[in-house]
Formats: sequence, structure tokens, C-alpha cells
Amino acid sequence: MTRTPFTATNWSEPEDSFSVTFYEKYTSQLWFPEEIPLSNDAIVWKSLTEAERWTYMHASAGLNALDTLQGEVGMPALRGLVPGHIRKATLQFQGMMEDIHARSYSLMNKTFLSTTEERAVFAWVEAQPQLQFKIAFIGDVFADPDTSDFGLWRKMVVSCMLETALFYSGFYYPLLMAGQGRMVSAGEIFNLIILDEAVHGVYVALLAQERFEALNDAQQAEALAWFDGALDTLYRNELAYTDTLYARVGLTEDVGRFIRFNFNILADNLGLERRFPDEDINPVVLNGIRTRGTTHDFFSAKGSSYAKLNVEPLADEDFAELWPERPAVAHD
Amino acid sequence: MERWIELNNRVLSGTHIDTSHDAQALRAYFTEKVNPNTVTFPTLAEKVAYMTEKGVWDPAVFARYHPRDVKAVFQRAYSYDFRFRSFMGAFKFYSEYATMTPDRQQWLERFEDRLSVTALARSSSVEEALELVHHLVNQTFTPATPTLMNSGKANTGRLVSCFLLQDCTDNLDSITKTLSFVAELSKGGGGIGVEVSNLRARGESLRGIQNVTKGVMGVAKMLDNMLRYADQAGQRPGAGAIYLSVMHADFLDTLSAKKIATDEDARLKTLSVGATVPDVFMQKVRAGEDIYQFYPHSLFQATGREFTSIDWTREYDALVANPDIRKKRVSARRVMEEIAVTQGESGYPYLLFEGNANAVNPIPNVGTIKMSNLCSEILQPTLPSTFHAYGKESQDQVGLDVSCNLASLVIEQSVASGDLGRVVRAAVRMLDDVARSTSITEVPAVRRANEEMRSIGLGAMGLHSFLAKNEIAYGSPEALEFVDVYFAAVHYHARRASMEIARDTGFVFRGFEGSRYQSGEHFAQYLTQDFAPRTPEVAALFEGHQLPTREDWAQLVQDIQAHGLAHSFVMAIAPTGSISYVSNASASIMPITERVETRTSNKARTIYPMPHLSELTEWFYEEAYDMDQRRVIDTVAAAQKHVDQGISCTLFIPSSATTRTLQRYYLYAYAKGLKTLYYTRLRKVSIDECLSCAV
Repeated sequence: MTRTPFTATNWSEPEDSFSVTFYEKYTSQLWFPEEIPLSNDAIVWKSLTEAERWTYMHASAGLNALDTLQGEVGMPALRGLVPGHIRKATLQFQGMMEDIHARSYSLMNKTFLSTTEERAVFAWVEAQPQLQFKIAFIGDVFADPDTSDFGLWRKMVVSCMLETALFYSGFYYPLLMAGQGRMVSAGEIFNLIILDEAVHGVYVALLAQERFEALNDAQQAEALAWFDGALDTLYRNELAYTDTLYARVGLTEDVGRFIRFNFNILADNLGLERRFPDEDINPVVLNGIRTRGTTHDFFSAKGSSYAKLNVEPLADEDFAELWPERPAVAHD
Repeated sequence: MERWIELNNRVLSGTHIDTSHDAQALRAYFTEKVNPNTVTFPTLAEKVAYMTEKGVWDPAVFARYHPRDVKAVFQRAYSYDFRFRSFMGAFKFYSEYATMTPDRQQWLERFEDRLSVTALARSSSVEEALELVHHLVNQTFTPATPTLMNSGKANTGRLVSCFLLQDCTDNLDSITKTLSFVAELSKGGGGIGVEVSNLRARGESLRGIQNVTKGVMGVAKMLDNMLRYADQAGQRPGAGAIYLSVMHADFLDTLSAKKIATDEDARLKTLSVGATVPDVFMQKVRAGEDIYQFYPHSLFQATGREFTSIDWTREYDALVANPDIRKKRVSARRVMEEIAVTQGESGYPYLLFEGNANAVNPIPNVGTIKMSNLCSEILQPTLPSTFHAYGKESQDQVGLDVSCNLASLVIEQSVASGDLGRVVRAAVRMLDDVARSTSITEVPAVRRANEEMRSIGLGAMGLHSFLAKNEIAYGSPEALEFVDVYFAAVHYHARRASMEIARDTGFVFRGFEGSRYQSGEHFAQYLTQDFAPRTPEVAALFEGHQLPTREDWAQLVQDIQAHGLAHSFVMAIAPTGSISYVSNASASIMPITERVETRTSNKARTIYPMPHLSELTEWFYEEAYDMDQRRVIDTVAAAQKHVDQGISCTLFIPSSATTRTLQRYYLYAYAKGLKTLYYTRLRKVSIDECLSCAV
């Protein structure tokens, strides 16, 4: 029996011009929720109204389910089908981060809720029809046996839909709260997650554009028709989900605008036409998703800007430029 | 959603920065929030009566003055027709400094009221109060937050919030005592530096049993938790820093506690970490050699000496040669590389170059400088204390800790005043009053330091905003010349004011006798050269000012020898936060981080366009991350020559930098004579930048 020999990953000869950069960007922004002093928010949490707490916690629980889906099903499916060691490694790292995101949401539940409340939130996830519909719809695309360019493109598109649009109904509330100075530590976790998701969304969209270009004209037309249909279905479902989450805090309309805004970003990333007209988004929320670091009080927050630096040793010329004479202590 | 927050956030939401939204936010905040919700009184007398009866203002302050004088001070404050120039400034002031009703629904004080009461509380005569209120309202200088927030109030926190504790010596009584001091100070919102190098390392012996001790991390974890627990009734989490020597066997363990991937039991969430770096370590780095790190308990058993009493550079070779002392060998460059890796991941540790700090220590007769504070600008000699168990307190020995009270000159307004000497004199007299009004009886070594040393720290802020307004690039030769001339003049006036207080009151700090102040050594540079402007551009900035000459200095040195000084230290440049927003200045003497800053706090996410930001000044508002950091270090080095304590110096690097970039900055800072480096800040490469270089 002959086998195709298994090859090693050659990082010196990457399969494309961007995956290494993305891999380096991801790994440099590795973080763990344990770094953030979540319990700082415990007192603020108690001061929120019943409705505010409900929305906050259920928004995060919904995100937990979606990140679990991405980490467990979505990213592994893409990783399995996309060729290239470096691309696979990049997607696998993304998958791991999705699981870390899911864990962060769970840590928030654990910090702020009693065990009974916590169980109730998880039970809600199982029973919430729009959330389960969204998961089933996307899960079906991931599970679809069609692995042609078109099939793979669809899987990538739903992955991007999650990363770039469908997560944002959940993000809206924590961003708004943090913008008002409430739940600031939890807000930091959301910021770190958003930084990750932004990179994930852009990376997978680049891979999707390649698949799309590989399709012939007829297939592209078919793909666009499928995209329109899927977007319609998921958008309508998302509005209903949003109403369930946000009606009690009176924000359904605002969140709807934010969802449309993010669907437009999705279209930009995929190289497709925007679906919705531009609308005014709450600037406080918008400034919350700006992915540059912000200024903060270092003694109570960590900030989203720290990263793993590449190690490079000092060289002799680093000393020579400062101390032209011999080194301070003799070698011999 | 509050309308002013939304308007303020709108500054960034268009395709270009539109600062007119900030002006709208400012107006909306006053007309819709502050003005309708301020309690008013028909007359000042009724207001004072109400505020003192309700226990808001301290009646003792008003008992010192005739009501006519009180009125004169308030009238003077209101006569300047003060207006905030940014939403952020007003929002900060009214949400953090102005006193509100207990339900926090209405304001009891306006800006002018707070400053009038501060002036009255911090003065002993109406003339002094009138002078002080003039400076406070015109913001030629601004007191540190606790002084501005708490002055003249009946029932509130302390006037100072910066403490250094060296009493964490290596026994359980001392450790628990230190923890209780930290809790006590943290309760009042203090920032506390704790020196921990005397603690025995992990795996040393305890009562003769080998390999059992938990090391520095055990104590550090307790401090970390304690500071978050005692949080000034939730108003502000306590904050602290430990200082640990790179020569300590636990140093690398403690560094790991700030890394991203670290075990939960070994993680320090909010406690800051500072590294004390002796010259001998830097020599080993330069030579590319190994260095020994020492086990303090073994060191104590072999030599009878505490870790912090060692002069590492002088005694290193002898200690290495002593076979009875347990030690471990590591590459000095690897240790420095670990420091850089950890700074990248967390911003920490701070670095304290012990050799640089002690080379110019003006009072070596009192002791050596072994540690710094939470913001790495306070540098004073400390002496350890020893504490004993309950019932044996009589054996306690109270050492010397540090309590420091701070204020910052606003460079733009102090220069515009035309009389820097007048500004600095008023600031020093106010700080002197803060020191005299403070007595932290709960922490004896802090109280002793304040009573005997009376140290103060006058700093400055708004360097970059001043330079941008005058169209001078940060770190340029003209900017460095300005810094040199400005801080030389500030030093002269501050020292002179300290001498005048000693002369007029007879109080001379303990340790003046035998100090380098008394010998004149500390002032040598001023007697051999003039610190006057050399270029016409810089001379123009100081137009109308009387700058001190060599002759003035010679006279001052004589006066100091004759009368002494009231304060062991007079200057320190802190990293200003809230007060720089209130004073419409960029922070400290650092470059700005963003032309329009997004700031997250537990009040709101707010947007702050830099002072005077316009198409004209934009070019001079280069952002810190885009600069070669040697320009920042050069700026700090120019100021450091004139500052008896330290300067908080932050490094700003893009995340694409490597550990080598950072280490080269450490070396440069060390070579330039900087005493400390504060944290390192990173700016992530944005996805757009990633894409544009990759795709």
C-alpha cells in the first residue's frame, strides 16, 4: 500500500501572503479571562435593575452557545477542509480562542449568579427558539457533506456571519454598559473577545473570497442567491431574538440598527454588496468596538493592548552605541 | 443614555474628528445636568452655615477667618469667570471632585466653591488664601487629587495618598503588621509601595526545617487581595506596588505572576510589581555574564544582614565568594529579557536603577534609596522597622517610611502667568501646609517620616500640549532646551521657598545636617553654568520672566547653609491623570498617546480631544507610539537633572516591537541617568494595518 507522505509545516514558505501575519496577530493577542479582575464588578452587578441583569446575562449566555458552536463545530469543520498546514494551524488557534471565549462567559455567570440562577440561564439557552434556530441553521451548513468550493464557501460565510454580525446583538449591551462606566471589568473581557472576533471574521472572509472567485459565473449567481436567502432568514430571526433580549430594557430598535450595520461590514469583508442603508449607530457603542487600545486607570484595569512580544536577543552593537569603550566587566 | 455622553462620543463617529461635538456636549452637560441640579443659596453666609451644619465643610476652617475674608476669597474665585474648555474636564471635575448631596442627586459645590474652600483650608491667613485661590482657579498649578477632593471637608479622607512602606521585614509579626498598615492606608484610597526584598525566598528554611518557605509570592498574593478588599467604600480600589530586587532568588517567579498564561495561585491581578536594579546587574548585562541571585534568609544567617542593607555593587564579589550563602546563577541578559517579555504582556515591572538614584541622593547621611512608590516618581531613603507580637510592642523599632504629597504645575498657565517664582512659591507653601496638616498615626513610620522629613513633591503637567500650542515638536532640541530652563527655574524657586519656610518658622528637616544640601554639593551644576535660553525660540517662551542666574543660586546656597531647608525633598513629577483633564493639559511631561483619547473608567467611556487640537497644532501632536522613545527618555533626562526625586517615565511601543527594542530603551535610559522607568504601554497593530501590509 502506498501512502502520500505526510509533510511538516514549513513556515518559511507559506501557502499565501497573509496567513502567517494573521497567525502572528492571533497568537500575540492570546489572553485568558483569569487575567481580568471580574469580581470588581460584583457590586455594580447588584446595583443593576432586574431587567438590566436579565438582558446582560442572557445576552452573554447566548454568546456562550454561539462560541461553543464555533469552537466545537465551525472552526474544526473549516480546519478539516481548508488545505495547507499554516491555514489549518491558524484556524485551529482560532477554534481554541472560541472555547476560551465560551469559558469567559461561563466565568461571568459563575461570578455574578447563584447556582440556581446559573442553571436557569443555561436552561434558557436550550429552550430559546430563535437562538436554537440560529444554531441549527448554521450547524446544518457546517454539517453539509458538500465540500466543493461552493460548499466550503457557504461554511465560511456562516462562520463570518457569526463572527461579524450575529454575535453583535449580544455584544451591544455590554458595550453600552461599559460606555456608561458600568460592568467595566466584564466590559474588558468583551473588548478582548471583540478584538479576536474582528480578526477571525476578516481572516475567514479572505479565505471565503478565494473560494468565491474559484466559482464559475453560474455558480456565483447561485451562491449570491443562497447568500440573500440565508441572510434574510437569519436577519429576521435575529430581529426576533433581539426583541426577546432587549424589549425589557427598551433597546430593540437601537440593537436592530447595530445588527444591520454589522451585516454591512460582513458584506464588505466578503466583497459583496451591502444589504442595508447606512444608519446612525449609538456613538458610545461604536467607540466601544474601535479596536485600538484605550486609555484606562492601570491600577484597576488591565487594558486590551498587551500582547506577547517576539523575543530577540540584544546584540553587541546595542552596547557599543552607548558605551563605546570596553564592557564594564572583563570577559577573561 | 445621557445626551452629553452621546454628544461627546460623537467626536469620533464621523469620517473626521469633529471637536465641535465636544463643545456641544460641554454645553449640554451644564445646561441640562449641572446647573439644574445645583443647590443654590441666597447668600454666601447662608451657604457656609448650611454646609458646616450639615457636616460637609469643616467649621474649624471657617472659624479661622472673619466672614468678610471668607467672602473676599469666594469673590476672588468667581471674579475670574472660569470656564472649562473640554467636556472631559468638566465631567471629571463634577463627577469626582465637587461635593454632592449624600444621595448623589444634586451638587453642593461648584468649581469655584471647591477651590475657595481648598484655599481657605490650606492657608493660615487671608492674604495667603487670596493668593492661593488666584492660582487654583487660574490653574497655574493643581494639587493632587486627594488634596483637591478632601480639603476643608469635615468628614472625609486624607489629603495625601502616596505612601512607601519598607517595614516588611522577614518575620511573621512584621508581615502581618505590614498587611494591616496596607489595609489601613488602602481604606483611605492610598497608593502604596511596599519593599519586599527582605522576605526569604521560596524553598528556604523556617525554624531550621529546610525547604519549606513559600517565598515572596505568598505575601504578594495577600497584598493583592487586601488592596482590592479595602477599597475606600467602593469609590476607588486600593492600589499598590511591591518592589523586589533583581538580586533576589524569587525575582523571576514574581515576574511570572504578571504574565498572560500563569497559574491562578501565582497570579497577581492588580498588584503592580517594581524591580530594583543595582549597577552590578547592569554591568553583568553589559558584559554578557551570569549573575547570582541570593536567598535572603541564608544571607542573613551567614552575615547577620538584611537583604536591603546590602550595597550590591560594592559587596557583590565578597558575597559571591562566601560559600555559606545560598545563591543561584542565571544569565543577566536572560533576566533582562524576561523583564522585557513581561512588560510586553502586562506593562510591568517598573524599573528602579538604584545606582542612578543613589548617585545623586541629596541625603545619603539619612540612608540609601531602596524602593519607589506606585508611580515610580517618589525616591527617598527609607529605614526598616521591626515589629513584635501583641504585648511586646515596647520592643518595636519604628523606622522611616515615606508619605508624599504632590501637586503639579500646569506648564502652559504657569508660563503665561509671567511670574514662575510666584507660582512655585504658592505651590510649595500649599504643599507645606498639607504636610503639616497630615498625621497618619496608624502607621508610625509614615507619621515619623512626615513629621521629621516633611517631604513634598512639586511636579508638572501639560508639556506636550504647551509645546504643540507653541508649534514646537516634542523631544526636539528646542523642546529639550525649554525643559532644561523651565525645571532649573522651578527647582530654584522651590528650594528657595523651602529655605524661606525654614528661616521664618525655624523648622529644619531631620538630616539636613550632613546632607549634600548643606555642603552645597547638590547645587554644584548651578554654580558653574547658567540655565538660560540659548535659542531665540525658547527665549521668546520665557519673555517677561526673571530667570535665576548663577549669582542668584550662589546667594541661595549661602542662605540654605545659614537657615536650612524645611523639606527633605521638594520635587517629583507624577503621571497626572484626572487632574490633567481638569486643568486642560496633556499628562505629565509625557507625549500624548492619541490626538483624541478614548478613556474608559467606572463613570463612562469618554472622548478627550487634546487641548488646542486644530489643523495647525495637529502636526505637533505626534502620538507617543509613533516616536522613537529615545526622545521621551531625552526629555525626562533633561528634567531629571533638576528634580531631586524621580519622574514617572512611561515607554510607548507598538506591538510589532521585539524584546530587543525594549531592552535597548532600558539601556539608553540607564545610560542617560534616569532613575526609574514606569510601565510600558503597547499599541496593538490594528487589523487594517495588518491587512495593508499582508494582503
